[in-house]
Amino acid sequence: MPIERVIVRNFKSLASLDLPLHPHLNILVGDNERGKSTVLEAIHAALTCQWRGRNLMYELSPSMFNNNVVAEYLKSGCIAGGEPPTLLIELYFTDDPALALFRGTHNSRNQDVAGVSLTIELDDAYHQALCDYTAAAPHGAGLPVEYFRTYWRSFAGNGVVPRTLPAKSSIIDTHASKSLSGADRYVAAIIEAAITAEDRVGLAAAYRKMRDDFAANPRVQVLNEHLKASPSAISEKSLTVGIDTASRSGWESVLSPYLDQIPFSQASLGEQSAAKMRLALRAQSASQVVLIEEPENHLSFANMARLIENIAKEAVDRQVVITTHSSFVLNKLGLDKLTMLGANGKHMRLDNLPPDTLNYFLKLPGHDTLRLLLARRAILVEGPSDELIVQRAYIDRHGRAPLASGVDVISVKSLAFKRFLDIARLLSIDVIALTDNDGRPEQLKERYAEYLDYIDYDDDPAAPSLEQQILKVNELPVINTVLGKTFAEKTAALAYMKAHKTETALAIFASTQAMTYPGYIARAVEE
Amino acid sequence: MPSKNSVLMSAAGSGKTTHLVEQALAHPSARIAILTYTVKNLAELQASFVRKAGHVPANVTLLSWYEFLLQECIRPYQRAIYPDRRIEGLHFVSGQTVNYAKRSDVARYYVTPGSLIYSDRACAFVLDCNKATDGAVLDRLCARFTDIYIDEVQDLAGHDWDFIALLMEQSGIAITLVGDTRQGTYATHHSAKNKQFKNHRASELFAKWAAKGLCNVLHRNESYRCPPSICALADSLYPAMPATLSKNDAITGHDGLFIVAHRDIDAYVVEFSPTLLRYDRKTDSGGRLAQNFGAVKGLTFPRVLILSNGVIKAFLKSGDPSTVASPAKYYVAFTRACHSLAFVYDGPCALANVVSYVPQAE
Repeated sequence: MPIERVIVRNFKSLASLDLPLHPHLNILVGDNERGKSTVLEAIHAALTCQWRGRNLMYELSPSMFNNNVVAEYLKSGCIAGGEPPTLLIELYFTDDPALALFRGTHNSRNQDVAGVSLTIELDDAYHQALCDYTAAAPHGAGLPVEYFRTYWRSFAGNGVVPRTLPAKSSIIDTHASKSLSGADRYVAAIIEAAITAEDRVGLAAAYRKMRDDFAANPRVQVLNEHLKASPSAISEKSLTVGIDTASRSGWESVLSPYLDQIPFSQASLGEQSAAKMRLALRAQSASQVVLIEEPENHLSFANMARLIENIAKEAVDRQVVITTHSSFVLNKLGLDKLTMLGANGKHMRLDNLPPDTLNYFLKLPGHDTLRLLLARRAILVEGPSDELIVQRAYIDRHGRAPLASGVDVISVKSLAFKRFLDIARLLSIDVIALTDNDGRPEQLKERYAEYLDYIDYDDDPAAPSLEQQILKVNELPVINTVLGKTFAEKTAALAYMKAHKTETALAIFASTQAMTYPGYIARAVEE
Repeated sequence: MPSKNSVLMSAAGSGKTTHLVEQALAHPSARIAILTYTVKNLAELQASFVRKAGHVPANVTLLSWYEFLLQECIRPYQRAIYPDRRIEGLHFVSGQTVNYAKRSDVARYYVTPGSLIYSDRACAFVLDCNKATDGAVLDRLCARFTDIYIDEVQDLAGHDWDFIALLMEQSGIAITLVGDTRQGTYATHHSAKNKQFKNHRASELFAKWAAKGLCNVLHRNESYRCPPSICALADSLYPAMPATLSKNDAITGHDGLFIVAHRDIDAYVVEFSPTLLRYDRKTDSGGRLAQNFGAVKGLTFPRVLILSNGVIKAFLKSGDPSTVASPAKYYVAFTRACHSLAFVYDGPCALANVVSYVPQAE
């Protein structure tokens, strides 16, 4: 039962999101603070009605709502007749007659489809109370969630009975555990999702029996005899000890996982992450949604490679959603599974890249793919020399390095320009590729006919290379100062520059001498 | 021609609950909904599953008639004709809703200001909704269930029949109706629509459907519960209906019909421990625990002692069943006992085969 689409409104950093999902593997990338983890949390919450391991109905907190939306409402509030914020998470299931129980049109798209929704909205009875609150509340106060109610329903409009849900969800967060009672409880939850109902009943029975046996142990009886004999200062009633059999706490709370005889919580974070993921991926039910946050955290490269292989294999018969910052993870698992999360819930998928472009990136080992994806703006250049010149030009123009403004200058073999531009075009990444004209600008124009908006060069055939371009716009004394040379003619300077490309570029980058840059570079560093 | 749909009319005590449960258990690959009107009967169905199979199997969904309408028929596509708010539940109407709204004015005609749907119009809403969605309601039901069994079908009324006819005619779902038109003690509502088919007149509707080839009508006239004398007495309330054949020939030493004088009630209770039944709370039980006729439908007791009201007294005195003007509840009460049915009654009884109880000597 894969989830086909996730719609989120007003949940944490996601004011609005409408995200299609692949039935097997999904990789979410995006800059920090774009809400990648929030997407995982949203899916988990709507599939379990749980929030950090507890029933969400009793765990409402103002931090679940989107800050901007809440602030906006509290500012204008009832006075302007604004709608109170409503938190909504909808999961749309793939069409399957077996899911008819969940089918209906109770969803924001009014679509006849199976799915579940989690809504947190103002309880009508408290409308006036909320108005009074917004009128009196100081700015910056949170939303009074006490006036809100949680509804967990199918698209048929009926309450969800968890047993009838076709999918279980496991969320694996590989950061140091932030759950309330440590890693054990977290792992226990994953174990619980992985075993059958019968096993669970058996475990609970075995645990109860162990407690009863302990209470009946003669040594405990001796203790009780002793207590009974000693007069109590607290109460007239007799005092004994026993096992609290009334409490619900069962084996889950006392079971502690061990890795090679080392208590789980004492193992390295990397080992912990790997174990959590193995457990979740090995879970019994194939109709499982596994949500993994940044699998690369705390893992050595070798371990990560193994893990990624595992994930790719397991994702064949279950749905996996992964967030990552690692271009290795991304490239290994398949760029076609990638969803790029932008600002304000905007997103793009790469599965409609031309196949040869896709193949190119699948083989690319480096970080360049991700650099392009994560850049606010990218300038593609042909080599390290061009990169240094562009860096310098940018610093001259703006007084800071391009990366400080989210502009990434990426050096790419010129043959790969088209590949990168394919991605950039698909994701609407602001990108410009800078190239030499190699003395044949017409040929360039022809080769990049479909990409002309994304490419810039000088069309003077007399200045076919970067070095000639630089010489063309700068007087000889400037060049001499920069290079620390005393060439009498530009031709001599050119010969040197051609023979020492890297030194030349480094000298230009390090020099404090004011320079002029070729038109296409100057244009590229303009914002 | 055999139809996918069937109507099974059965006498009280013929074991129709058992029959439904066995049918369901015999089809583990079918997706079956079993619907009934009363909560008590729902519990009885559930208990029967537990007795026979240990639990209600996963392919069987037990729902009350109104749960079914609300969860499976009304809500999923309500937005097609009532997008304003989610319909939260049912507003139970005794009698008919009178609010002078036109049917096209959906919000007012069907729904209360608190977003509850008027129970007597629930089925009409389903029909309108199915039409507005081009059959989406039926499509979804088809995906949900291959079979729908409706128990205690005599309790249905009005638009319920139109909806069931639609299910029979236009859905791929096999519909099985089970009931005893003699036991129509409730009605899901009191609509003017189809009122000629209310309760025991429903058999005329079934005959019409059968003639159109919409369904087969079968009768089960054996009672595994009641001995012959009790069957005969109950049958006499519906002279036009086929007679019930008793399949219970157990002998306990105190079998058949009895009269208990008012002063002997306690002695009788001590000796035979009968279940006490009364028409309703207006009949004085002398502080004893007694159940109303209307609440015991579908239930079986070894022995029954009925605290007679005026109608029963007149019947016993005259021996004429036509003195019982609306016999449904009496029919239910008479057909609960496996062994003995006794009436509290002082005076001469005109019925044959009735034995007067004489307490054992001290």
